[in-house]
Amino acid sequence: MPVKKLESSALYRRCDANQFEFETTAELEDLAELIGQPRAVEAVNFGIGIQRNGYNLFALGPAGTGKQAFIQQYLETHASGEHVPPDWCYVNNFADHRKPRALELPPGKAVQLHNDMEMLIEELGITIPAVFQSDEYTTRAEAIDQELNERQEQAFESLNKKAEAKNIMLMRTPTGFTLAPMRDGKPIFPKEFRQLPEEERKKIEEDSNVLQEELRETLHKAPQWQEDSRQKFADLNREMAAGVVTHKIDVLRGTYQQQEKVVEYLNDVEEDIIANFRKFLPEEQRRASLFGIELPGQEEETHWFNRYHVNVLLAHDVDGGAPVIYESLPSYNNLIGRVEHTAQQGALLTDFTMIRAGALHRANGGYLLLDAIKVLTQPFAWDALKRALQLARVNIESLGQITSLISTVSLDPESIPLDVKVILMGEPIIYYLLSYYDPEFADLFKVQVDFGNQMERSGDSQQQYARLLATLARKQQLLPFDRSAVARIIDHSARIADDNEKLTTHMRSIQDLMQESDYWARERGESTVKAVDVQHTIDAQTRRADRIHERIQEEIQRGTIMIDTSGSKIGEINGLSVMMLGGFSFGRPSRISARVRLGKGNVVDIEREVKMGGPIHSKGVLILSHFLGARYALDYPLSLSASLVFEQSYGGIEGDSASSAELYALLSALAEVPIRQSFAVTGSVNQHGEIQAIGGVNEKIEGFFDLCNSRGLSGEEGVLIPASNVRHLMLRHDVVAAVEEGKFSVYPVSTVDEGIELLTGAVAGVRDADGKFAADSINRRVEDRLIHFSMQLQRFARAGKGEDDIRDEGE
Amino acid sequence: MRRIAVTLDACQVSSRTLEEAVQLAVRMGAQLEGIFVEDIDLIQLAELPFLREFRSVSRSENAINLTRMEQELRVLARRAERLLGEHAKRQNVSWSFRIWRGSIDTELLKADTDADVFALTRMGATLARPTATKAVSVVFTGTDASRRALETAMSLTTDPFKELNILLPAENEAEAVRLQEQATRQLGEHAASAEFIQLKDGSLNDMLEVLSDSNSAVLIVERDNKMLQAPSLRRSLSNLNCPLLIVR
Repeated sequence: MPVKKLESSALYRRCDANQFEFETTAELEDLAELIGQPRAVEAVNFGIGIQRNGYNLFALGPAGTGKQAFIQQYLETHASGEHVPPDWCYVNNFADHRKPRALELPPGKAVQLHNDMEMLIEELGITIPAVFQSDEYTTRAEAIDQELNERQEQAFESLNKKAEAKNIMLMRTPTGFTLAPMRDGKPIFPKEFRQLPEEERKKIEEDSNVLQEELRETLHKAPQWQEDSRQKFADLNREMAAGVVTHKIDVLRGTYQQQEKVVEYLNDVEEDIIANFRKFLPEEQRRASLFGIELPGQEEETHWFNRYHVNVLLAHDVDGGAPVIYESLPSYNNLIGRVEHTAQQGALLTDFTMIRAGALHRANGGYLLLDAIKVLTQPFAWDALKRALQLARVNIESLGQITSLISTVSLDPESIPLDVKVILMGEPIIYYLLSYYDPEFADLFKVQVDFGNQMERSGDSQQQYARLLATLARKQQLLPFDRSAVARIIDHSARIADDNEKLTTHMRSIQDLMQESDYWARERGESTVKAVDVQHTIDAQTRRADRIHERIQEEIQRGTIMIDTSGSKIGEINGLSVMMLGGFSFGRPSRISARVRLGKGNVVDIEREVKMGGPIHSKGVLILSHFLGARYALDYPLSLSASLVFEQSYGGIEGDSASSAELYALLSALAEVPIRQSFAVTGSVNQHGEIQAIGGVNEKIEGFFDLCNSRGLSGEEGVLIPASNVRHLMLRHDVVAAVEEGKFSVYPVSTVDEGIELLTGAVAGVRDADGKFAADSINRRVEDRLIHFSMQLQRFARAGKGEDDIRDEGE
Repeated sequence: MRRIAVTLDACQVSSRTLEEAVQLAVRMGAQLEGIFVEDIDLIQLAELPFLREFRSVSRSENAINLTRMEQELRVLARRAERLLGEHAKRQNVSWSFRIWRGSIDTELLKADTDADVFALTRMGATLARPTATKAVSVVFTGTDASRRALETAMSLTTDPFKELNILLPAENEAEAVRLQEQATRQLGEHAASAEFIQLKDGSLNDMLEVLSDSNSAVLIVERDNKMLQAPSLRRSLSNLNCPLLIVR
């Protein structure tokens, strides 16, 4: 039974604008839920609800399906009702500055602690100097000093008096003391000394020896006196400093009594301030003095007081809910935080105040969204993320330390407990590759959230889709779309889905279409977007992208690329392929030719021979030879040598959608029956001769239509497509119109026999009771030719000719 | 421009002492002359065979060796010159340095050359006492030189809260009142922070007693003060617990 060409109604499933009760999308309410992704929504609900280790989410789906927008919106709604996570600070570790301590505080308290500490230091900057300038301190300090001085002076005075009594003088030398003889308060010089009677000289020497012994003793006691004095002075300082510091710290200890670690920290602060009270004294008090008058001194270390700062790593609003963080650049440091450095005179310096939070810190107690491909392409980021999730702690380590590239001393901050739900987003291939290659992945990302790129098209779903468009229009602050525009977008959505029974969920494409339609509507001065604006957008998008397509069409027109659209030829057929360039797809007709001769039963795919054909294409060609063998050469050797080629193809060819066309060309060559060149063919074929569905059917039909249309349609032109592709048809309006007018045809083909009959106008033929095909049928002619080849081969075999001889004969 | 000469002995070569000397010049807007004193008495005594030196820090002891002592003095003099130069350069003070060798008792006062102010300390003591002292003491006799001494004292008490002790050598109340009036006129606004103390006999002992009570940071006298005519300057300076500024 001959194949009927498709009615125009089958080529395009139009969305009836009259089914919508609204005039414009402004009348529609926002769509709260995600449409067309029930599986994903269910998975998100589960993944967010379950609170177990490893139940992080991986949202997989094509880019542009709105995964991130949906998940982010979902999480923000969900997180706003959750409890606020604690604040975190880093503070100095007074026992080991290299290991700053992490302090956990209730929400909102970190900033308070920071401010309290700032205030404490500021107040101590006033009260400590006041204490050390007080009369009490000055008096007590001077008393200690006086005690030492008196002790020393008394010792030296006593020595001096004894010396003077014996006419000996205590004198200073450059580095110490000496005892010299004197008379009348003046030294006795050597010359004078020598003139003294010997007895007197001896007496002076003896006295001198006795006094030297006393001087020796006094000098040996002096250090101990000084040490005693220093200790008293230190005790006094400590007592004075503690008096003011402890009181202030006690107030803070009361404020933070519930936070044990904060109280411990405050205890350490107290000890440190008391030990370093001098740093709180005004600079001038630490300067040299001139007769007790203060003099300008050296600059103080400006960063010293940083040790009492509180580095607020994370501060939350008390009623802010759980955090939802999207990290757009998930580098190692952006994920786990970093320790910054400051350059000073060529050296890199750091301290705990330069510890910065990473995305994991910011999302702690909430949710972290990451693009999987970005995490994977950032050095060390993936490992760091996994390590943090496995340990349930965030440990800030510099890359230099991890890689052992830098051995300088750096900080080793105390790690922070991690409680975060990570949502990775990415293409399905990333998910599958990680599942396959990374054994830890499955333990850490147990919830698969699979976003599809299509949804069912029905009356209800189209209504939902209209509300989706209304929501997008409002969010993007676009003009309202009237119902004709909505209907046109829905039609285009089906075209993007490549299926007239589906709608695309690729939100980015739809958003782009809406924004550009809005632009064109505004250009026309309209207050609503109409179907004409949407159509203009589609045409403009095509126009912007189809330079290559146009160029190919032009070269076909000029005969540079040889494609016939009229007449008939043996062994030649118009095949159809789809080219995709930068997201724009278009159909390209190609001439496929087949040559046959006597041989050893192999069909040569020339594309494959020169490595221009992909494996799927080669598979299609191999199927052909087995189809021929199974159908026509069951009882004798298939003694055919055939070659197939895509004429004027200069790039690679992949896919099996041309395999039916190749088979038709082969059959035409074997049967020596010409094929009508006004047809083009697409569809793959199996070993039983059944035509199977292919992709890009709309582009392929339109590609051939454009060529024929430019040459002038005679009504003979048409395309053979697999019958199973009819549901995918969403053809352009001009194609549909040409079909309506009978100028162009689309034939749904189910078997090779249906196709060859259409292409040749001859009967394909079926085997009769004797197993013979009808005389003059295509199949009979093919079979006879193959039998002839086989007989010929046997004859050659008997004559003892080799393969080379056969080739010579064949040619 | 005024000129101040500051004496330093071997015990005073420290960065702090020299910085104080420079600050003194800055306050007075004067050129600075550092005079490193080598006590000839000590050098001569070194020849006595039984003399031993006791080191104050290491507490070691050995016989005095003249060559070594002279080397040590030269080292200290170089260090004093370098430190003085560094501090003076930092404060942009014009300075000079020289070494003076002589007897402290009999010749030191002649070492001041033509300086307007001559700073002396107890040899072996720092210029400033370690504890904070507050008062500047000056002897005012009504002479031109004592007026300059008072002016110097005022330049050292720019902080109005610093005490200024004005010692008036007067045999009777009337003389004391006259001197006080003269000083008050010169003091102007500084008069409010000044305390006037009458010195009955103007002797060294009287002055030392007053200075001991007032906890003075410095004593400023005119060149002709009687105290400077005491039999042993070494002993006078030794008994004076603060530096002495002599104003011409």
